Amino acid sequence: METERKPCITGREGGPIKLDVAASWTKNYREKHPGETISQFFGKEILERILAQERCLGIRFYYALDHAGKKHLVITGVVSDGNDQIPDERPEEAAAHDLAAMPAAGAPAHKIYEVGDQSTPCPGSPNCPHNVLSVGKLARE
Amino acid sequence: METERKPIITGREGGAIDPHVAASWTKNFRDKRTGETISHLFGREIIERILAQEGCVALRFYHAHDHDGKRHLVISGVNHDGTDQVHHSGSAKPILYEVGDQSMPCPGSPGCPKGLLSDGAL
Repeated sequence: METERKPCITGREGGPIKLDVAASWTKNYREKHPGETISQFFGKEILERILAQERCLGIRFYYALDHAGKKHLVITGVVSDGNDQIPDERPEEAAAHDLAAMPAAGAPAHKIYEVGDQSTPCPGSPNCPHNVLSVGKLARE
Repeated sequence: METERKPIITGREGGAIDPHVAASWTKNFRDKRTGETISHLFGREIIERILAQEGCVALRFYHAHDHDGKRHLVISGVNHDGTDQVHHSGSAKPILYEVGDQSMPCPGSPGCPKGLLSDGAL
């Protein structure tokens, strides 16, 4: 039986970084991994859907490789003890359990969590930016 | 002079993935990059701050290494035309954009999960 995990996630994880430091770190990556995907982006809709999940305090980004070797970022919601919000493995059983323990009429039978992917990579998609983070220099105005 | 870029970012980029497919892909990464950082966590506050920046319709995540070789994800807001929100010009009114880092890596921070995506366990 899994022991109970202490709350350790506050929602305040992560913070600002100076642009010149960030630029030197993304440059390090490009130099170490020439030709690879350098960035991926997610539209605000999926990020907001995951943040709107009950008890979600943050988003975890997993490195992933598909079976063709293509890089992905897989995203999940995270709760206060650090666990990921993964969709229920046994929805029928869980629904029955939740139904039995339902605290009030109208409560959902089971929780629907989303795991996200299909981010847009650069290079490899339209309108990839040219700036200090992507190529090491500011775009010309 | 940079040509004007067409607005092509809608905010709907990205979508759901079957958790078992995701688990096999994160496993591929762990198998191929043994001992490396497998994930980063950003709390909702910084994500919401950047999403709230004027004109922000998406977040871009840059792969990065610091000068000790440690992996980072650097995040920036993205405008409708795909440009990053890293600086602003062309207006008398300055706009301050935030670029984010300091995510919590796994392994190496409290609360790292044991689950389908992190070690294949249910």
